Amino acid sequence: MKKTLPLTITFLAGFYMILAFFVPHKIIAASAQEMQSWEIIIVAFTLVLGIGNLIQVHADKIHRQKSGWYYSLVLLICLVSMMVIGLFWGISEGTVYYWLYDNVMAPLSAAMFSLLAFFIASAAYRAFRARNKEATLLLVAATIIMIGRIPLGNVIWHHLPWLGAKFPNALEGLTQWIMDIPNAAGQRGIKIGAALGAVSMALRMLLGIERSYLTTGGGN
Amino acid sequence: MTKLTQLDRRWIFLAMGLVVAAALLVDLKMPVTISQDVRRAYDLIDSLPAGTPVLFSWDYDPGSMPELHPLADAMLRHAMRKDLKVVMMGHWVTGIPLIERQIGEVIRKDFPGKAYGTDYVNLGYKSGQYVVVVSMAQNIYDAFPQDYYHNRTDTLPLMRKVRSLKDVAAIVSFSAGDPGLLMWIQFAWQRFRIPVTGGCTAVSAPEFSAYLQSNQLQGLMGGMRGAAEYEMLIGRPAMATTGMSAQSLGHFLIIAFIIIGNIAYFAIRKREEK
Repeated sequence: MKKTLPLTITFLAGFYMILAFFVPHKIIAASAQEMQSWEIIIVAFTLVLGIGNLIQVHADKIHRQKSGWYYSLVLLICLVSMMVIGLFWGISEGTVYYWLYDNVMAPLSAAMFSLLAFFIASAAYRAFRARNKEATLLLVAATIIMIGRIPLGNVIWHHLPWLGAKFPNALEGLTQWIMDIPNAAGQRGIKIGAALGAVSMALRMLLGIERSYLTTGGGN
Repeated sequence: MTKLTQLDRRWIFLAMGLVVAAALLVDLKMPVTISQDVRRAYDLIDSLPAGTPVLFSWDYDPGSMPELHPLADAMLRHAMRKDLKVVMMGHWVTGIPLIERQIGEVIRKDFPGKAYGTDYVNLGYKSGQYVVVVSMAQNIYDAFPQDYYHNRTDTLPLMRKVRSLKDVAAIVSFSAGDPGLLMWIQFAWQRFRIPVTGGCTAVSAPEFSAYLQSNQLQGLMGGMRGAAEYEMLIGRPAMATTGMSAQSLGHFLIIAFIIIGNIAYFAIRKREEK
């Protein structure tokens, strides 16, 4: 019963949603909409689970005094502070929460993102090697895209003595071609593969073949 | 050559920092050419008659703000100039205050005549991702019973016109990942045929090529370059256009590092073969 009941619920709920997609009857559409509204509540609970998991992992790290445990402490203090401040004094403009968001969280997040430029430069220097045919192809394509997507690249191209004058739009054309043809073809392949994988996984779950979602993290 | 391959990465960081800082200080004026994808996004908004409701979704957080904030700024400004009615929302909870920031920077500052509730509405955040999109397509009051300021949604004049997602002429998503632009294409366009456009970070732009070709996506602004192009189209060069010089020199520096790294690599390989 412990397994049969969740499997039955999964099958019936999943099958009903598929039915609602193909049968545009009023009663079916209304009930399917109601079920989707319930889904919002379920998804909202994932936030609670996420916070619970975060607290559990970091509290354990602090308790065991693992390396860098003080970062975990800072994280938990910030999490609790923002929650308490937001819950009791509001999150609108002019509140303490808003001030912290604007002056601490936003600049820190933006700084994290901007570090990417430094790491990309370092990684490109150390790892982007023309070791074989495939790597060389990737390297050449990446270089063309990097030059073609910036205004300075086009300015330099137009000033090249022979190439720029004879083929003024060649760099832009080549950049667009790489994006539209080889890139789009690769992306399509990945997307079709992922979609087929998702469909097969959904079917396996509906038919009760895939049962991993019934188990705990340990697989019991 | 061996020394070159073992170069301390702090030198690379220093070079990048200096180049970007210098470019920002000097601000080299460079011509920005308009790409087809950005032109399509602009044309979609530009073709809408005054008073048409559109939905803008802020699907990013402060992490991607440097790239996506100029994008949202330019497009919101365009919509306000065209007198479109903008319904705002977001799928990233940490990104919602950014809507407020943009309202302050664009609407309250440069379009003071626009009234909340009539010309624009901020619905805020609702967890649920694609379920929220589907629910909004059925009934927007169910998905958002209240707006960001706790007003009842069905009491706002603009929201009386926009009862479901099907009442908006276009959806614009400023997207840093998932949930974002892709989710809007898959659920708003694919199921309800509402035109979707928007912008994304430069790194995720290649992912959307296939959707642009199939017209499932009506134009795209990729990263800061896309924003700079849009700024050119609305005739107001701003943050992104200034950022182009830093981005240009940054790219060239990366290419220079790749070339130096490869020269060192081939020199060492040749020496080892001998």
